[in-house]
Amino acid sequence: MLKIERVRFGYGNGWVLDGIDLSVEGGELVGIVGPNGAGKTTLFRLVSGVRSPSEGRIHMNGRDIASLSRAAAARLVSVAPQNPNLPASFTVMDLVLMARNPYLNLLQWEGGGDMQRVERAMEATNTLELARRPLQGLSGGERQRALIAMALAQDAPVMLLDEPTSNLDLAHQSRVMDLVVDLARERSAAVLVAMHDLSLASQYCDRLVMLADGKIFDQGSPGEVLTAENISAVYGVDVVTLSHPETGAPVVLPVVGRKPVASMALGVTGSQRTRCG
Amino acid sequence: MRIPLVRGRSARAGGAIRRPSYPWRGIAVGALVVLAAAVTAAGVGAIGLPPLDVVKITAARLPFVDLPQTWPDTWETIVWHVRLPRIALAGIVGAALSMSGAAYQGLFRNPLADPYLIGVSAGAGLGAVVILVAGAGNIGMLPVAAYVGGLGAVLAAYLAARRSGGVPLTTLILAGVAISSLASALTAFLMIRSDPDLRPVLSWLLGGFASTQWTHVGLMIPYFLPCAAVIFAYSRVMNVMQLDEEHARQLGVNVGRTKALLIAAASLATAAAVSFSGLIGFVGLIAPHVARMLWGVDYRSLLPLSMLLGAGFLILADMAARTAVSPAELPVGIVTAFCGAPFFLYLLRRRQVEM
Repeated sequence: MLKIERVRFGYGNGWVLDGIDLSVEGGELVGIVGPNGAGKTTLFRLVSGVRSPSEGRIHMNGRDIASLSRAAAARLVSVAPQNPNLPASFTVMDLVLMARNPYLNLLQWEGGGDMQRVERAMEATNTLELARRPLQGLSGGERQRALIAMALAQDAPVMLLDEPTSNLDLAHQSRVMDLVVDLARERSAAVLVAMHDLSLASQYCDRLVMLADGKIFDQGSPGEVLTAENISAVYGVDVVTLSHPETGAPVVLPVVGRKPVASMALGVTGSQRTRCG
Repeated sequence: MRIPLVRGRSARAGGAIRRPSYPWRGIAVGALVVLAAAVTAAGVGAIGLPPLDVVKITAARLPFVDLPQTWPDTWETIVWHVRLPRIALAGIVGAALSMSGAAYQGLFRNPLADPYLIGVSAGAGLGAVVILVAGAGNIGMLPVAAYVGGLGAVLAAYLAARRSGGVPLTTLILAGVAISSLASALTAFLMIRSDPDLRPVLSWLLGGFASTQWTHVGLMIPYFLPCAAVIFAYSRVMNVMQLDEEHARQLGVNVGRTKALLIAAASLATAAAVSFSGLIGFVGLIAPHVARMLWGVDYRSLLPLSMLLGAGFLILADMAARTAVSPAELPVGIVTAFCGAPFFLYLLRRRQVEM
């Protein structure tokens, strides 16, 4: 469905993305993991079509996203950005209504069908009771739910969620991720989620794509990707991985009190080595 | 305080989700207020006239209306030829400035933006001085020169700020500041170097509607209407433009084209207003804020209601300008600043100035 082929992209000096090959099917939830600056947000920019790849192409059911009009691209790909500035005095409903923009021409206003979709999106994200609250008074979690409601109301077959759980407490984290899984399944949408929390990504995603320096370092099931070797190579930190007692998916834990891998290699003698892991 | 006049949903308790509807009621109320202001202004002056006669004199001019003349001819001259043209022009200019102010505030996401933000005023001033210095007192050319100067300044700022990826708005504001300073310096230089009678420029700069004729109204309308049409067409999209640029693009907005069109429309309307009436401050800044306070932030209601507020306010301000120190006349810019600045401070104290 969504195909990313040999994509390279840079903002001027060097490649931020260097040869990305990835395809995602409808109904699939794919986690994009990797350290800061690995290219996750840039990848989302390219898939949503607000930037065009320097080389390679991204297409959706055979249609090249870079060649589409803004509105046509927005009907195919929706994005919940990470921490955007939001207009303070607009209400949550005003915000979610904006998601219908790609379906309306200049002089058209939201119709009954648009309102239904907006209402359903807000229902699913538990934001109906926030509908008339101004955006400036929202907590971090409420903001994120409003942004996800927006991406939902955009009703696109590809959804990109940039760190949807970064501001959430434990309960909201799992609620949002449950919701994201449902979305992928029920709407058979191709959902890409950029996540920093590896353990959380591992529990929910069908597949993980590990980015490092603009390249795909590894991809596959969470169990295949989240190995201690991969993580230490990409993040430069030692970890232990355990299996979740119920799902069997890996849980990643840092190794406490040990120096980063890079300095480990230099002159740490056997007797001083901390014993753990 | 929110007056639930426009968006029914804010008035009702149940049904969190309500489809946005056109603010017909707010517009009707606003139009009535503007009309009342116009009738009052047409009656007030050196010679006071009863409102009913004002209405009759005006109505008798309309096609298919046949009223027996029950008023003296001088009244007709005062109402139809002296007061109504300037009321009409004040209304249109007030509407144009408020519309442009609202558009700029939305576009730049800056509550301090006014229609003169990116150089229209300084450019128009330069144009006016150039024509006075060079054209040997051809006052008839002054509006044209101001129009060209005002648009030239905006265009220069726009071109200076343009990058390959579009026009970053902060750069545009900075370029506007630079172009404004340059134009002001040139204006001052010309004023010092030459020695014509500069009173026409000065009084024009302060703004006013003295000696307005129907011709001026007729000339203003073709500038105003297309600009208003463009800005109105984009009013829903302007809501989306309140998001980060990239976010708006991801929601299907062609941000570059929208910015260019809205800047062009707002600047054309402002330049036309400036060339007919001079630099009238505060209307374009304040009317959108008051509309926001009363009716909320949705541009679909904000734009029409700001325009009506601006029109009504400027009609009354012009009335005050010609009656306060009668028989002399104050520049209307002094009146608008005199009312506008304290009111704006009051808004700031109440922390109601939000976007």
